[in-house]
Amino acid sequence: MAVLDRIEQSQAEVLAAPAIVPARRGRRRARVRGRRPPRGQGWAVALSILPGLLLFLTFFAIPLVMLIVTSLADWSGFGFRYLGLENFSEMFRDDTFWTAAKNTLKFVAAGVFIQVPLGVLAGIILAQRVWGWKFFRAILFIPFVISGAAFALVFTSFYNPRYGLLDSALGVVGIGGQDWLAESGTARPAVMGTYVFILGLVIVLVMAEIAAIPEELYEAAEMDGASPLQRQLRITLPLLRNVIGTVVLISTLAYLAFFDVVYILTKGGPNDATLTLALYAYRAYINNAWGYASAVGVVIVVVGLALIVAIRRLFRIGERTL
Amino acid sequence: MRLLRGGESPRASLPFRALLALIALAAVAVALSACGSGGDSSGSGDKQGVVEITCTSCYGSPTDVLLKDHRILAERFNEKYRGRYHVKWIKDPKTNPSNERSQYYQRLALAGDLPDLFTGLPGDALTLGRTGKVMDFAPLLKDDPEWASSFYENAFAGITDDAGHSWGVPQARNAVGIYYNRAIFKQAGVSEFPRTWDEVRVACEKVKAIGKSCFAMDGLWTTLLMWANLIGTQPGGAEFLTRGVRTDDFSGFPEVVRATETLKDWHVEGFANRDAFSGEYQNAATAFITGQSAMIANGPWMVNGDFRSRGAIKGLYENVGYEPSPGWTADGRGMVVSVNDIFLSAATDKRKQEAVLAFVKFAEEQAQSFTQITVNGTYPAVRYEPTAAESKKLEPLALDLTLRSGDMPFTYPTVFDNAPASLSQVFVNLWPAYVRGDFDTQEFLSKFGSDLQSKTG
Repeated sequence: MAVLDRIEQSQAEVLAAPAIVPARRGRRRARVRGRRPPRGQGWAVALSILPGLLLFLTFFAIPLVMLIVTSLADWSGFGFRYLGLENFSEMFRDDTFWTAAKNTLKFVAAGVFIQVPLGVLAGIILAQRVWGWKFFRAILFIPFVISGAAFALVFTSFYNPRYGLLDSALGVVGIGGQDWLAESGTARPAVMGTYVFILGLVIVLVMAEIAAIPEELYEAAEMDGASPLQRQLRITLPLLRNVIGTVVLISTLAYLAFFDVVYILTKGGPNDATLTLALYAYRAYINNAWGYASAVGVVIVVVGLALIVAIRRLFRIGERTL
Repeated sequence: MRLLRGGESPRASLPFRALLALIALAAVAVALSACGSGGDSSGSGDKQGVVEITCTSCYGSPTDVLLKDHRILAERFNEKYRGRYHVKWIKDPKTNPSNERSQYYQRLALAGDLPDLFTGLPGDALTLGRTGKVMDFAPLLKDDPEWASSFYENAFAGITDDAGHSWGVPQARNAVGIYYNRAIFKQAGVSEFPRTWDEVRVACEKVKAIGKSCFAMDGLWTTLLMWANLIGTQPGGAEFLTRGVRTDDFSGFPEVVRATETLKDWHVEGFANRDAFSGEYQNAATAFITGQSAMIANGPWMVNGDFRSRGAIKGLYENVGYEPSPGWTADGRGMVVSVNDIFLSAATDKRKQEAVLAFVKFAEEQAQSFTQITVNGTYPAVRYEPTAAESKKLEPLALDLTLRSGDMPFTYPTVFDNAPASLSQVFVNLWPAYVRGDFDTQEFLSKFGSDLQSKTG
């Protein structure tokens, strides 16, 4: 009886959508007290920390400080003139910057609203152990381990209007000859098409999360007459909140700094139709406006931090659901 | 091995942990010191009294066809000047001309790490010249009029600033013409290579009628060569390609407007290959070497690099002709003459500067020129007169064009020789949009110029 009671209680909690367990707000975290190293061992502790600290300073802290400092200057390697916020004001007045910002948001949106839902759907389906699920999981994961640059090179051939696979296929039905990457109207969707179907990471994370859901919840729901679809919608999906939030976060940050694929496929063209913020910064860099490029970098970092906070709050990432 | 005493923790003891910490610290130190290592060298040590100069372009690039002979050059120089000068070649990760290489040089200049000898584009020479980190060769040329007169006229034009400083010494001067496929012309009923742009249009209509594209273009290098031909064969065109490309608005140059609209029309008429906007040279090259396009503008290096490659159709080389550009009139033909491989030096020590001077003079000797042509397919910036024996060994298409380059009514540089480093980026971005009708010609040329000068063009 005790087990059934527990399942019923669990079922009641699950069906009380949207949140399984209310967020624990206002609770004070237990204070973690720092322990002093034993007498005479301080130097050993300091020495142990030093390599990590050096790496942290060399590869993170110092570059970040340099990024911020140089963003306030007219700098191209030679000479350094303090400008205050002039780089930023110039950037915000530049129409090309806003074009790049809008394009970047569109690439992020494609990742969040196409790639992630498709990945979650595929993950849920494969988690049902459907026929050939291991094979399909492997096939869908392979594109994820291929580097973006290599993938982009494959797609330059795929989209080629003279000998590309896409054009050849469309030519069979008489609509070939389209130069997908050179047309302002098709270039952006063509670039999105190179990554929105890379579902491997989302699938693997979703499947791992589903495997951790107690089977009793499904059994209880089944006993209660819930259909398979209802079980997925009312049990699986709410319990995937954490992992969905995580992949949304990863996807957002990845496409916020989207560079390699666009650079290889279109270099931001035609007429800035695929220009991203990272590519915009790169253009400033090759034009010897290194300070300006740093200012763009600062904007990307700030927007990234804001999105991290927003997404973590929206999905309550880190809060346990069971 | 020390046994643990009663009550002693099995965790690592203090001296052991300290040792671990020291090892970790040493590992980090080794890793960081590796970042600053100088790279490879020829292995020759610094013998007493021998002046050693470092050279990054002398390593022998496996990928850049233009640098293949530099290793041979350095070895011969070391042999000739044994006991006096020695070139030490350093592996350089960025030997291919590109925006990235230009930036790389600037970073090296910033760090004071530029080698004693390296090669760059004219734009690199002017940019680095402004930093004061590279040698000015103008006084040396003035001191040696015989050496100065050995170069072709205008060889130093692209690397000499308004104050008269010459920030390098040109090594290559290439006559760049237009290759054409005689078999396609014959099949289309075109009896000879067109002499005027009007004749080009007539020929292209015939070529199109047999299902081939008239021009192989890539939306960048070969397209801009054709643009240079259309501009350069007009009065004032060479001046635009030398100095005008550094202005911020091209719409005020009538010769540029005329050339741009002509080039656009060819695309709109379907005279170019379908993937003519990719920005990838290989797309243009494959269109030509596989017999799908009748013409391509390119330099003499294409013979060894592409016509004899495995991808080329059988018998291509025998069917290829190489001609100067057509003109707007029959007697107004022209040719791109590109001085694009510049020796630069950051040597500051007087003895090293002497060694650098000896090296660049050695590189311009006739015997070295012959090696350069046969190995790279590029021609020297000094006047080269092959012996009868040498002539037999030289690629006839390129030799013929080079010999004719001195008699052309119009000669002019490529757009790349003098434009800002962002040219590729800007052109690839704007050109497809213009041809597709997103801008009119005035708007395109205005934006083209301003984007080249802007921070984020």
